[in-house]
Amino acid sequence: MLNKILNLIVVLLLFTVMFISIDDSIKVWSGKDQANEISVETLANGAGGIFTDYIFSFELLSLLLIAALIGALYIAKKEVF
Amino acid sequence: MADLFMFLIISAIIFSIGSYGIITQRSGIKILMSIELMLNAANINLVAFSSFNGDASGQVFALFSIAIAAAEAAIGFAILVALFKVRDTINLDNINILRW
Repeated sequence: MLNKILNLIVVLLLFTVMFISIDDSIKVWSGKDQANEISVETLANGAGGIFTDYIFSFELLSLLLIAALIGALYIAKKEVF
Repeated sequence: MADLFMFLIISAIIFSIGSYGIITQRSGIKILMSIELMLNAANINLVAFSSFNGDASGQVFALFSIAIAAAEAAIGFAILVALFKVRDTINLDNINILRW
């Protein structure tokens, strides 16, 4: 019981730290109260898109995903380790 | 009235819920779910700042982060399956095969 109260206190302190840091940094990004709509075309082919600027990271990510898939199958299939 | 402050507060709340789950829960699957909550809180921050600055790079980074989270979840569940074969439990208090 005491353990749960201590965990709750720790998490509330963490949230308080994050709230204070968000509230103090409000002057950095104030004035931006309207969300811009970013289209899928911009996300893919515009400046900073997946297929233009980050094409190397995108291909590397595909390699990482297939390596993780094969590794996960290998670990889960093995009898003992 | 959905300004940037609301998104940051929602993100902080979700991150706190994830860290509370990691502290309190002892089951491996619940801890993996809490890790996914914390990663999604970071994704909300990335998408919110990207949308309010009018720059698409943040959303691209959020997409990459989601893919990394998928790979991490696959590896985590594979490790849990292997541990369950050895120990017949996924309670992390009983898992001490990396301890010396």
